[in-house]
Amino acid sequence: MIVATGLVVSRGGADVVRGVSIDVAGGAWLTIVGPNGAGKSSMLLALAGLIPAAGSIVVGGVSIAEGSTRTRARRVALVAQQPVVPEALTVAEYVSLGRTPHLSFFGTETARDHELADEVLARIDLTWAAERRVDTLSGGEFRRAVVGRALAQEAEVLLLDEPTTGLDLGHQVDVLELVDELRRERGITVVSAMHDLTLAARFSDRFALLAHGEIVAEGTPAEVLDPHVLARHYGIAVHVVHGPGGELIVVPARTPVGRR
Amino acid sequence: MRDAARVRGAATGGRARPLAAARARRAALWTSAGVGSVVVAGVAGLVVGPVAVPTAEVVRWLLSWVPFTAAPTLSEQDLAILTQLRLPRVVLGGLVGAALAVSGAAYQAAFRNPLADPYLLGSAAGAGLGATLAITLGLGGASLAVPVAAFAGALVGVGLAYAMASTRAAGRTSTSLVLAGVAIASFLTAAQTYLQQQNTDSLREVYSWMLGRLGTGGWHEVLLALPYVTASAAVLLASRRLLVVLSLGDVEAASLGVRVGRDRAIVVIAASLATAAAVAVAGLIGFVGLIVPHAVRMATGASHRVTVGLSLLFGASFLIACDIVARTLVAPGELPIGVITAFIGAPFFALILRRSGGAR
Repeated sequence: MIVATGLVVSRGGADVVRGVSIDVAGGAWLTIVGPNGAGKSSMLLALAGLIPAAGSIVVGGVSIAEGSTRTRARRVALVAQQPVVPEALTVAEYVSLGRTPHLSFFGTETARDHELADEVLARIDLTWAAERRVDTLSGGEFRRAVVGRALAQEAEVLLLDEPTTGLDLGHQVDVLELVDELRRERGITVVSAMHDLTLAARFSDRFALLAHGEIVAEGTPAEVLDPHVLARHYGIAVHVVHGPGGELIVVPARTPVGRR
Repeated sequence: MRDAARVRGAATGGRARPLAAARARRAALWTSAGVGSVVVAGVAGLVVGPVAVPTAEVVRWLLSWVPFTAAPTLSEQDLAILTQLRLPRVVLGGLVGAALAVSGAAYQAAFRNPLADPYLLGSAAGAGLGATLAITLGLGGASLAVPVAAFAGALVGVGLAYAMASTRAAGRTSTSLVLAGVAIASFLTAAQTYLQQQNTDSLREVYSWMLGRLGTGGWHEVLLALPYVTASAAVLLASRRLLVVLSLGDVEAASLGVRVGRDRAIVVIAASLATAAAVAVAGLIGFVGLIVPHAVRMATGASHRVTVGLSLLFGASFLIACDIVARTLVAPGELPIGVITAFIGAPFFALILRRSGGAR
């Protein structure tokens, strides 16, 4: 579980996150939605402890301000929006990098770390690619490897910043399904930032709509995906319809010609 | 499709160990090749010279340091040539080449910049100013004045660049550090040029120092550089895994629990110390720190974890080999070794670039 209270993040002299509080139960999935510039990425970086923030962040009952950078990375893992594709690393080596917070400064992986990396590779279905270079993977495979690296951190909280950017439809669902399975199996708490509201609604337990650094709506996807609320904060009319299986589908309406 | 892949994963038991073992074997093979290249270059460095000393005699002399082997049969003159002239020169060449190449590999990883070289942060310019200062003050004759001044200058250069980039406003990023290095280097080079222009009588001496040389090196220089190069190389070799993590960029490295600013500083300080020691005893020898790590990376296709150590070995043999060429090509005269490193390095690099299909 992760609880943040009164989170304030300042960047470039302005507050980009202004007094946000969230409370995500263990094994739950919260998605932060909101227009560009709302402060979603800043909030995730702050939750990961990577940028200074006022307020408190508590993971599993312990404040992340306590303990070292290394301890924090054992409890919170981040999948960055555009992960760097490293040169000359094999997929197995890449996934093993997730063991970094468990190693000492000059330390190297033990047999147990290698075993764990092998398990992760099997779990993310990349065992066949273990000795392939990461920079030869397809976009979808690479994203799985990034999730695998985060998984190898054995953290209880997984933060995902736009995990489906640049992926085709099939691979978008593929990555999100993988994350969903992992949180069900292992009770991992997931906090993600996403733009695709339809896709996010299929996987998240709860939504928090962020606008101008503040949470303006929070609840189940059905509660937050209100056409009026969305219209107000995205500045565009939207239709929210139900699909054949009852799933929510958000469709933006076109601005009438001449009204732009 | 995922299910099919999962079955495949289960069928292999989720293990890829045979392939990982093959990778480890490849790394070990390359390491042996690196050690072999140092040995071959070293022996060649002892054999080649104006006075002919038979290879077999040289090898027997080297082996005589191993207990229970036959005593060497060298004449006193040959022994003096080997111990006083050629051996210190070979050792110094190896030390300087190793220092420059391993620092280059570390800089390129820590700054995520393929063009980063050991002279990046103002160390060369600082060393140049220090050496020029010592020479123009008339201290050029004292055996260690120039190297010590160059060493101090190099550390001052890197220190200034670091201080400039470490303010909160500068952001403490790798880019701000590189930019600060460029600014400091320009400033120090200007100061050095001014000094040189005011003291034209020592121009030749300064110029010869700048071009780099191993010829005047003896055991003094070896002993001066050895502790710094050894300590720095040990730190850089121990940081191999850290360098891989740093190559993921600041945000991802930090998310993996690395204290990016501090850890990069450790690597940069170690690399700068090795560079300063190399520059102090051998002047400015270009190309080694840039080309050797790239050549090793392209030839092996391995990550920083393997290439940092290999750069150290191949850097040593490369510079020893270049020095042999530098002192034989126009014998009895000598060419500046920096000229040779570029003349050999550039075509060699082109060859590797063509064969590997690019630096990936």
